[in-house]
Amino acid sequence: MDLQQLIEFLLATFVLSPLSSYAVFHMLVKPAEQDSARLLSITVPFGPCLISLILFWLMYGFPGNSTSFYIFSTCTALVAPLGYFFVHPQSLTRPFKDILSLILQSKVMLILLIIAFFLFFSLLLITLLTPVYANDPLQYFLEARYLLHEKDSSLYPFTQYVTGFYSQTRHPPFYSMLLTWSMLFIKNPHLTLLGRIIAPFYVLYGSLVFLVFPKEKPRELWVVAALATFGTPLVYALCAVSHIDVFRMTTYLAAACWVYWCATRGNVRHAIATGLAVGLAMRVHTSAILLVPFLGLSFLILSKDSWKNRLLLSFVMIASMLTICGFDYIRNILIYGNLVSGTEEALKIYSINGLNYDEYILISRDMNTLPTLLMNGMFAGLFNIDKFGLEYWFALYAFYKIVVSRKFSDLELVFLFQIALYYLMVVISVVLGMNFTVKNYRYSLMVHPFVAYFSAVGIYEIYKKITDN
Amino acid sequence: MKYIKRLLIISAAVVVIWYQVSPAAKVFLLRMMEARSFMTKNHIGIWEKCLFNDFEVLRFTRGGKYNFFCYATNYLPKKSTTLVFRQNGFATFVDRHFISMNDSRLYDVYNAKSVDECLHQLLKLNVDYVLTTPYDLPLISKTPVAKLLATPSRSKIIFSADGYDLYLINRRLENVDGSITLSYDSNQMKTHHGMDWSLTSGASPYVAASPLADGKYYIDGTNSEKGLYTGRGHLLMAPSRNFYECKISPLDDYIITVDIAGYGKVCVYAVYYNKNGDLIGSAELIQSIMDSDGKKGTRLFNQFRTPVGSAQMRILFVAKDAWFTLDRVTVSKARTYDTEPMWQGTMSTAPQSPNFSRPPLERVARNKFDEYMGADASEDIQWGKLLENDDHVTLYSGAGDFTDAPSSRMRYKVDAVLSGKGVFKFMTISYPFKENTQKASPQIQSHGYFLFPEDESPVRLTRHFDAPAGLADFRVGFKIIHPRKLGPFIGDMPNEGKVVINSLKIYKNVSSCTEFTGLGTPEWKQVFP
Repeated sequence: MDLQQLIEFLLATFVLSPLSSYAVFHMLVKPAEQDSARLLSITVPFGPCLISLILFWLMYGFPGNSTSFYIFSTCTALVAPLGYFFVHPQSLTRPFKDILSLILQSKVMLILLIIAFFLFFSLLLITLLTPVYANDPLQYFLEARYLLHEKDSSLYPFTQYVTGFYSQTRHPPFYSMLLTWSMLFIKNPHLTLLGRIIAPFYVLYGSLVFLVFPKEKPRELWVVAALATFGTPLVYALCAVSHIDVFRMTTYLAAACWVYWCATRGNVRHAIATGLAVGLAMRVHTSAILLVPFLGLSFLILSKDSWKNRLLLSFVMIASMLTICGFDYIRNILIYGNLVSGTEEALKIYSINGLNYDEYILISRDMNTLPTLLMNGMFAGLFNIDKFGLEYWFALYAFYKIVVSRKFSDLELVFLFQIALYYLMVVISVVLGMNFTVKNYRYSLMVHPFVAYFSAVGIYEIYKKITDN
Repeated sequence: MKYIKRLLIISAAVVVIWYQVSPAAKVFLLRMMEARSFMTKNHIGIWEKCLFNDFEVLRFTRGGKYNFFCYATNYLPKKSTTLVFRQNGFATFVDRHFISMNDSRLYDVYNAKSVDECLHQLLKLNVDYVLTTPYDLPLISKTPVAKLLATPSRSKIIFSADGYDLYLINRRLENVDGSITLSYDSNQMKTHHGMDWSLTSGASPYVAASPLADGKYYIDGTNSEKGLYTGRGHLLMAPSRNFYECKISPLDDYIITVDIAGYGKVCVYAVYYNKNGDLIGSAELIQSIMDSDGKKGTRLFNQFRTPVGSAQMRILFVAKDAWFTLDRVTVSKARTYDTEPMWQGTMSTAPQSPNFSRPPLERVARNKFDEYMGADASEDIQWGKLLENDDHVTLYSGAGDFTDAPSSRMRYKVDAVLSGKGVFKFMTISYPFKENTQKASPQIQSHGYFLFPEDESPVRLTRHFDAPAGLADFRVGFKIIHPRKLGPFIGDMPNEGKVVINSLKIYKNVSSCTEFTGLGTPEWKQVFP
């Protein structure tokens, strides 16, 4: 691999695709000029998602073609929407001006952003220099290796591949396709360099959402929230080994912002765009299927429209969402009889008495008794400070302050809903004796950006209290 | 008040930063140190490091299971299928077919009613090897697969390191027991000179990562000139007739020694062929970074095994931006154990055997066991002396005469006949060589778990293990794993465990790196200038 391939990949993946995503969403929602930067922030994370989607369909519809065919076709599809900027050049320049003025607004902001950039660059350096060795990332890279070899995405998820490979966690083909994309450039499935550097860019994208999108509260507080999200020991460590979690966190955060926007704007264009964004986020991880009830309920409660309009917009959103991710789920139902692919088939093995799979997982992760299940499973964020830092404690303090003062913005309400619904699901499932929601402490990272935001609020409240006194 | 406020804010900030930032900083520093160490040792810069093969980096920085994967490739024939309980590492780093533990095709295997039925089901799936990791026993201990692995007549460990065990199951055992007679045909081998490099790509991670120029240099064994070789290229050596006239078995070991002087990185590979001359695999034997002054010669050596089905082999030198002079290359049969055991003991009575029945003893015994870690190596140890006998650990010790160079290695074979209940772990405790008056820090090597059959019939345990560099003294121990520790996994196993050691024999390898049998000393010639 040479430097030219690296630059081509960086440009296509982290410049072209986010701009293309921005252009598509801009065309759809036609925001006010001052909202362009906000739109940019919540569309950028979906840029690589578009690459993954386009490549999936290309490899599905035209399997077995050359690598240049896939690169060229994908790039063509991404370049096409950029024509919009020739008609509306200000929609391209305005957000960058706004973001620059945000960065330069105060010294504190500048310092915080330098810290955020250090976080990004340190992760980039680690991923550049560290091989892939963690179990799950190895699987994603293997899937990508086989996809590159076969150039046929209909084989995904692999159940009886010729080498014997068996996709054990069958997420929708987002990350694997994105890694396949990186391997198309490098043309060597054994060299993982380009695939490794994708994750740190989602730290950058997530921080951009926090920095630019919100209007409430001091903006420095939101940057602290970004630092708290991606500087959490567990998130940092997972991102450094190219885990999938940073993708689902960032896309979920952006999708939640979209739902907030749609609920406060309330028109069909926004509903279509929100559906697309949620659909793209749902292709990232199997757990993202929860976005439908979580974000759907948030929209229905938060929207100020009449109930008739709310239901109508929800219907539009779901229809729009299904155009993106419907195929994955319909395919699962047709093949496996289940929404989450392979569950029924996998259960056949997992339910064998001799294997004790569930017990093994619970004991090896120290969750086999009720107290340890509560501490290391349900409320891992509170009791595993080595993994989650002190964030959940600060967030608890913020919840207390919010409940007492009853002052919260609509965006905070959306965030609060996500946390409340997630933990409601966890508590109900554990009470019913099902431990699938807690057996991995990474599951709770789904709502981690929202918790991290409230931890930033908690820190801010404590700081105010100390300085006011 | 103002200062108290400031102090409060600073203290709070320190606490937050400590818990929030320090773990991430630790991750960052560790990764950077690993990278730096790799770059320094390999004389490469950041960009080259970025492009380096993952497997090579991991083997260098982590060793352990990655080394195991590398050597496992050596033991697994090209067309083998291995049942793996940790799929992703194996699938990424071992270029062989496998079946993952979660594969629904294994349903009948897990539900087999007996060991033989389980074996039959595995053979139906073409599985001939099973790879277990240190973490698998609790997961599979109630399945027939665990019982299959604990039945010596049905399975045998062919390679074991760092708690990772590679088992050969019944079908292949038939081949292993009858050793293969090799016939070397020099005419046949000639047709393979100048072999196509693409044949080995993928089989060797290093070659796959750095494709080499085809046939730039090669050497055969027909003449006796020495040469100086520089740049990228490979050196190809036809096998010595003497060497290949011996019988080989996959359970035998060979030693390669290379007297070499030069600069840079050199890797020595074995390329294996079957008796028809078809390529069946390759494996890295030696990897070394030579001294920067390049004048001082060095001796590289390693022990290796040939894979099942191999009849011929070639030794291959791969250099990256290096020059070197080969003075001598020797391949000799290594594992020729003494016919008489160096030590033999029989402990057949129950009081001398570990036995336990009460759960609280676990912790107590562990503490006692820990005490052995600090044991003084200088104490007068005699072979066969039963050092300690408590509920969990029985140690047998012996003083060795291993005062060779610190890089020397010795191979041992332990052959024991045991009976009992429960699960136990076989381990050795080694003491590095130091002056007798000094305390040495011992290191424990686990050589795998062992599960007794339910009927308590005697079973035979054979393990081969390497003595670590600079070994002065070692002890052999059996540690009982308390069933309670395995909790619900152990299922049908009795709630108590014991081991009766009917006999214990320890064999020493008669050949070492300083004492070669000298079966073949090929000469070298530079064919292309």
